[in-house]
Amino acid sequence: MPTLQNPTDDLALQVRHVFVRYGKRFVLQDITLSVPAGEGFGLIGANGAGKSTLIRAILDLLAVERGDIALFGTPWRVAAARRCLAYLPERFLPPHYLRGREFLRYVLALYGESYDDVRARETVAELDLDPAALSRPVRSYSKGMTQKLGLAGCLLARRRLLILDEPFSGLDPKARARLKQRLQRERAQGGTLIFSSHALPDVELLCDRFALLHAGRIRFLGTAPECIQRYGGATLEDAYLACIDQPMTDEVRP
Amino acid sequence: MNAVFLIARETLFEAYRDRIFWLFAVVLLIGVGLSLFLSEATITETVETQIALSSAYLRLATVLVMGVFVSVSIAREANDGLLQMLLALPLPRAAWYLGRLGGFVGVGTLVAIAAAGTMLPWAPASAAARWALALACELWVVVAFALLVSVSLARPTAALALTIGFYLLARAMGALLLISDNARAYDPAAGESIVNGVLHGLSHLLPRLDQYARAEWLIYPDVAQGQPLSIIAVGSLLYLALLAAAGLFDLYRRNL
Repeated sequence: MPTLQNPTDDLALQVRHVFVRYGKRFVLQDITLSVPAGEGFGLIGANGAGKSTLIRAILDLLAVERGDIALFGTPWRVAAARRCLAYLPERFLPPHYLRGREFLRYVLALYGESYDDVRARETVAELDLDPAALSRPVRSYSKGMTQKLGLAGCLLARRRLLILDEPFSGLDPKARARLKQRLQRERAQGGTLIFSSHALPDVELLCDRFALLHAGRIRFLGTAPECIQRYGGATLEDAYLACIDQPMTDEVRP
Repeated sequence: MNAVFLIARETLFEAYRDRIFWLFAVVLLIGVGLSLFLSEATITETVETQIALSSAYLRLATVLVMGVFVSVSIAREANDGLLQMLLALPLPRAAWYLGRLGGFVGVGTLVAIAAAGTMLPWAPASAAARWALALACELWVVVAFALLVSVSLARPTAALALTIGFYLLARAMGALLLISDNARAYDPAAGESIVNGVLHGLSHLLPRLDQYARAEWLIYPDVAQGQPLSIIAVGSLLYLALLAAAGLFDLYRRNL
């Protein structure tokens, strides 16, 4: 198994020269980045750029062709490396046969945490989900409600690192605002946040730095002002468009 | 181990909430109704015919419902993202797989006991108990196979079709071998020899489900006493272990 040299748990995530392929096609190429503990880090890019694939590679849900990954200094192939994190996949739907409360109880039991109804009700209320919904079957939930329930499961697990794949997907404006507040609070308490998003303002607000992926490569890695400075334009959106429109030879190495 | 237990318990709960047990109850009621109808329709050996047909119906019906339950449950878990969420926990993939397998085996066992219960009015309790154990063993093998193909193919229709094909082939293997051996004895041509060789090869790989939960165990309980139930139980556990090993091998090399 490949090993990382000088692993350190000051870094929540360390990805070095990672390549992933589906069949003969490389979908991630030479991805290198690191996320210090306590940082907010965003993954942005067009559909199919490789954001979800990178997250799945980090979680050892798919095979890495080459390269190394470490979570708090522990190689990613070791199950214990995921002890410090909670993850919400994209387009998540909790089991339809459970009630909201039963889902949280099940997930927390698997995380090794006990279920506290007061905390659960507070957390879902913070995410703009009516606590009364916890008594209802998940099959009666709307898309946004299932997303909030999944997010609540991650937040209640109280992990040092949150990895969220498109966490704002399906949320209405009020719920988005509430989620941003909650994630900022997680950050303020020392938590590390890694998430993918298509919403650039959310990334600007919540992230210290971000990686812009395009066609499986990192085209930019840094802060929003650095991106604007490098690619021009008045907003991050302008810089984003300028970045992905540039030919691949202009690739920026982290 | 705690996670395996939690996931197995959740699978049993899923069967309960998905009304799988109600579905089985309906299937059993249809079986009982079929038996009562046949008892009115037959002139001689009424009870024997009744038991033979209803036990055969129950075997097939329970296998089909369990196959559908396993393939749909696994496909839904993968499509809804729950599988990814669970495998991102600090657990080995084996914990999820063994938990799901344990849950499906538990559901199959409960179903086999209920199916045998419907035979009690016509068969002695000891014969029904032997038949229940053999049916449970049959369902263990079927759910282990269904889980293997459901995880590997990630397509419920294909997984169900393969499971039914596997079951029918394993059930019919005794008859196929008999036909093939006789055909070869009368016509030792190369074609017959090849078919015969393939069938004998397959019979070594497949569990001999035609030897499981036979109707005559219920009809002639004295004969059934001599049947090697322990061989069926041990053989089923061996198949369960082999199918689980194959499933784990595939799961560990899979991209999710």
